[in-house]
Formats: sequence, C-alpha cells, structure tokens
Amino acid sequence: MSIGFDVMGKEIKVRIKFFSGIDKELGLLNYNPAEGVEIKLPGRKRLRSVLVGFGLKKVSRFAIFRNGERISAWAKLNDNDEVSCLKVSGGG
Amino acid sequence: MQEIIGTSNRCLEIDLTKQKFEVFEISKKDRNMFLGGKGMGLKFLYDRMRAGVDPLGEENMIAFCMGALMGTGAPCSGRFDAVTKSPQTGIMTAASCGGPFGMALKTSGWDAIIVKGRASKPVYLYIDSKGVKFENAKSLWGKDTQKTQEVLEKIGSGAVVIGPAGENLVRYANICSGHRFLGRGGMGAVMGSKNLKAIVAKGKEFKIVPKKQKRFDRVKNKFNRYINSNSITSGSYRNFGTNANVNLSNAAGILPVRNFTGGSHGEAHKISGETMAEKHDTKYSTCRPCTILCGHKGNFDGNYRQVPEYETTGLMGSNLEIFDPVAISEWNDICTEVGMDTISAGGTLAWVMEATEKGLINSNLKFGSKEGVSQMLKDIGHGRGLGKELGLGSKALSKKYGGEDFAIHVKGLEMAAYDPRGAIGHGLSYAVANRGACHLSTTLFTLEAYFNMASPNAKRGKPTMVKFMENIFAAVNSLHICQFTAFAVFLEPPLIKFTPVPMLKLLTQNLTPIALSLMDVSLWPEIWYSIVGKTYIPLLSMRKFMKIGERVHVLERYMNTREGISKKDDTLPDRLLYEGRKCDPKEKVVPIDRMLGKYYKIRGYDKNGIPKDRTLKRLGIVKK
Repeated sequence: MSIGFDVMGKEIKVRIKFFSGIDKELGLLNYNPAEGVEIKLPGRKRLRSVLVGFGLKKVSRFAIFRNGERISAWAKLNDNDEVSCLKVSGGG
Repeated sequence: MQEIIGTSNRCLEIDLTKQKFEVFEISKKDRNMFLGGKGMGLKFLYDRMRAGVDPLGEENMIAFCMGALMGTGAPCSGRFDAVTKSPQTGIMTAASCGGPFGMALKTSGWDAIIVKGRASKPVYLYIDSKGVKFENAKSLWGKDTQKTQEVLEKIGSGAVVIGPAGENLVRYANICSGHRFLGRGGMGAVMGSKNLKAIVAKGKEFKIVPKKQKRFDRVKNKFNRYINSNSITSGSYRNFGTNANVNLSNAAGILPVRNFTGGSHGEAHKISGETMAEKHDTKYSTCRPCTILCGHKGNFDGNYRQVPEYETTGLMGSNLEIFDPVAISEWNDICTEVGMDTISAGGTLAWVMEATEKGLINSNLKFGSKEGVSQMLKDIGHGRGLGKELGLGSKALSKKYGGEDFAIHVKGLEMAAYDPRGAIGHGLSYAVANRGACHLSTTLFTLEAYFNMASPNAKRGKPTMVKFMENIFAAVNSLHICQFTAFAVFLEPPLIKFTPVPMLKLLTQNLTPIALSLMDVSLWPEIWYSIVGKTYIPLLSMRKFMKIGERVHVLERYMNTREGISKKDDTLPDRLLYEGRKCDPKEKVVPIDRMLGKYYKIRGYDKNGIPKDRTLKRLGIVKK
C-alpha cells in the first residue's frame, strides 16, 4: 500500500506499520502488516503530524518504534525509516 | 452449605509412603508473615525439609497452597500455587496456576496440602472435607493429562494431574489443572517420582465469605473498574490474548529469534495475537473467575484448540524460525497432553537445532523446518530415543555435548521469550530470579521496552526496580491473584494515569526510589484486609504488604543458597553477555556485573549473594 502526500522540496520515503488492530480502526483496506504503508513526505516531518494525518488521535498512548528503538511521536522522520505503531501490551 | 469466613487455615500433610494424613492449622503469625500461596508453601517446606534432598527422592515435598482470595469472587483470584524442589534446577521452584483444582480444594475446606514420601505403586488422592483417600491409579497411569481429567471430573470438581512426561521424569514436566498449568521447574516429575498421578478434590462443600463483606464489595468494584478501564487488561489481552506481545516484542527487538541470535523477524506478524484473532476465530477460554480474559481458544484447520500463549509462540515459533500458527498450536497441544513446559521444551529444541547445525549432535531438527518437531515432542514426553535425553533440558545436554555458550538458561531453567539485550534491567532480573530464567519475577521488560517508563539500555536504577518488582510479585503470588492485575493496579491510579510518560520516565530513571514509593499498590492489601477482617490503614498496610513480599523473596533465596546457589550462578548465558544481534547495529549486550553488586547491596545480601544474618533477622526468617 502506498500513499502520496503533496510533495515540495526534497522528498523522503517512510514505511509505517500499524499493528494491534490500528489498521482496522483507521479503515485501511487490504492492509498487509508485513509491508505496512509507504508514504512520501516533503522533507523531514515530525512523526506526530503524519500519524494525525492518518486519523490517529491521542498519539502519545501508542508505542512507537523506529528500527528497534522506542521513539517519541515528536521525532523527526528520516529517509527510509521504518516505523511501527502499536497499542501497549503487558508481559506474560 | 456451610460457610468459611475468610480463611479456614486448615491444612493436610499427606504421607504417600505410609498412606496416612494429618490435619494441622496455619498459625495466625504465619498467615500474617507469609499470607498464603507461594509464601506459605515456601514456609512449609523451610520448616519441614532439610537442604540437599534429592528432588526426585522420597524426601522431597510438594505443597499446594491457596491464597486468601480464592473462592471469594475477587477478580482474577482463581489461582493457586505449588512449591517444591525442582529436579530441573536443584533449587526451589514455585509456580502459579489458574485451573479448577484451587477452587475445588478450598471449597472442600482446605487452605493447603503438603505431599511427602513415595507410594509403592501408582496412586491418586481423593480429597473432601473429611480428609484423604488413597486410590489405585493403575488404570490412569500412561493416560495423557486431558484423558486423566475426563475420568476424574466425574468424582470431583477439580484436579491436578500429570501426563506421560511426569511419569517419565522429564525434568520440565508440568502439572495440569483444566487447561492451565503449574508450568516451570519440573513439578510434574516430582509427582511422577512419588507415583502420584493426580489429586482430585470434591469441592463445593463450603462457601467462602469475606469477613468484611461491604468493604470487600467496594474494593472489588474498584478493582473491576480499574481492570475494565486499563488498555492492556481490557484491550490488548482481552482482544488478542498474550500474543498481543508478539508484534510489540518484535518492534522493540526483544523477540527471541533463532535461539536468541536475533531480536526481530519480518514474518513475526504471522504468529501475532492479531493474526490469531483474525484468522483463527478466537473465543475466550480462561481461568475462573477472570475479568481480564486473556486465555483464548481458536480454530486451527478445523481443530478447536487452546491458543498458545505468548511464551509458547515465542519459544516454539520465532525462536525456531517457524511462523506457522497451526503448527505451533499442534505442538502446544502435544505438550498439554504429555504434560510438559512449552518454554523449556522450545528452548531445548532450539539448542538441539543449533547443536545439530554445528555438528555437536545428530538429529533431524533444523531451524525453519517443522519436520520432526511433533515426533520429537512426543518422544520427549514418552522418554523414547533421543527424546529421553532432551527431557533433561538444555543445561544437561550442553554439558554432555558442548555448546554451553548457546544453551539459553539460567540455573538450568530455559529463558522465557524476552531477549534481555533489548531490556537490560530484565537481564538482571533473569540472572537473579529465584527459580532461574523466569520472566514473571519482575516483568521489568514492560517498563523498559513496552511502556517507555525506563530506558531499556540504562543501568541506573535497574537494581532498585528489580528489587521492587520482585517484592511486589512475591506478595501478589502469596495473596494470590493474577499477576496481570498489576497493569491495572500500577497504571490506573490517577497519579500515574495523568502524569505524562516522559515525566514518569525521568523520575523512574533518575529518582528511582522516590518514583517507586509513589506507586499506589493499595488495592491488593485492601482486598486482602477485607477478607481476613483486619483494619486497613493506608500506607502502613501497603508497606506491610510490600514487606511480606520481601520476606517471601528473601526466604526463597535463602533456601536456594542452602542448596549451593551464590554469585557464580547469578549470571546469563554467554550469548547474552558477549554477542550482539543482527537486529541491533549497536550490538548491545547485558552488562550484568555492573548491576549485580548494587542489587546485592540493596537486597541485604553479602558480596557473594548470600542473605546477611541481619537481613534474615529483620524479616523474621530466623530468630533474633
């Protein structure tokens, strides 16, 4: 699945993967969790604005990881980043 | 129906050798010091069993202990504990189970039973309010756990049973009750060594009533409100079961992959809770009573099976590089039937696959291949061929064949499905956990890798966090209530719920003791006090509850040190100490030595990890 944003300036590509049923809540059709959603952005944007653009609310309640590292929704995205967005779970 | 107000305090001491039993009472002092469940089981064995006994010998004892909450209708309270000396590790092991035996025993009027000795031929025990009958188990011996229970459910309302793995002394054989288990440390082999196939309790003879009913109802309602508003207990777990952790662990880089050589894998989503729910039509199948509802059943190619728990999925799935939920559910079923721990079975299979690859051992098992796994699991359970050797676990195998550096265990117990190189505090927790590489002694990885409340790579504050969580969970397992209630108890009080996570992280990481002292865990002691009729005093009662947890944890450690455990055993496998992983460009490892000294100091242990006299006296474990 690929989504294009209006592009101005140097374009970057980011892949966002939604888990924990978030894809269903966002109404993403034919969503494949292995591929996620590839988006093109006009330069380095903050993740939060991208997630809000998808329709997510209260972004801070999600667990967000970039390349195995937990990041804040305020982090700036880089070209070729792969971001995973999940609901928090526990151990057991 | 007669009523038991609070707790009956009546216990049975059963001698299988003499086929006799005695009734005794739990003293008020012991109840106040050790609560019930795990704490009481440890105290019973500490008082009755000398150090150094053979875990599979006549002298070993196994105690089954209920908590004060069992039978009262308190949320998530349908759990009981068993405590024994483990044949897998040679030290104490305690396990918790949500099967129907607990309720059956408690409503037969008993708070605990201790079993000792060895029957001359296979027996099962029938328990009602009058006492114990020793019954011939010849017709049950050799039957799997489910078929055994089918027979016994006609004569009692709950049983604990062993399968062929227990009979064949597989060192990680478990004890089954319903479709739940006393999973870790090989308790099934202890029952097998005693020729004890099962214990069945009549149940439904007594009604359990809290002493302060109104107060109990009020606390119970608050508890349920917290559980139902928490996003983990009422969201992730209720919707996706414990496999909700698969994608989260994968994203955080703590999922075991290929015998702990990787922390994430591109195919992990195929075995996630989301996939299980979507493709396998999952329905609730839980402990009783339960408000969280994390246990599920699902349709796996036409077979309605219990959905494997996260630990099983991690150890028999990603850790073997197999991403097929149907195969994992089949292996889970085999382990259920023969009665053995899926964590240790999976960890042992992973070691065999790597040892085969390296030419240390001959087998047909390969990473990424399902071929031969089902048969090998059956062979382990039935003690056949190579399976018989695999039944000794990865520590024993690696000592014999080599490959100790990639035998992923602590003190002989295979590691649960969280790679500590992505959560180093949890690495310390694994190293010092009383029963070996157990994830449940602290579940610190949740704070580090899931909740973002502590930096996963920072050493600072981690020893204090480990101590705090160990104490809490030792108390919770003595109360006894499901550990998963911790998410609601910790996260729902307003102070934590409405404080921004970055601020919590800052506090937890830099002012750890202060941050932890702000944690409001009052719900647990409050519900206990309402059942036993004590006056609840805010803060003071909570501190007392925490001290009980500390006492239980240190008692278990002290008993282990009498068996020879010391600093040399509080470590991790070489792979986790010296090897980085493919998923981690920084190749992080666990700096265990730099956390261990501080942990011993705040625990009141000496430099060799032995509890100091003054610590034992302060906690009332030895006399002043």
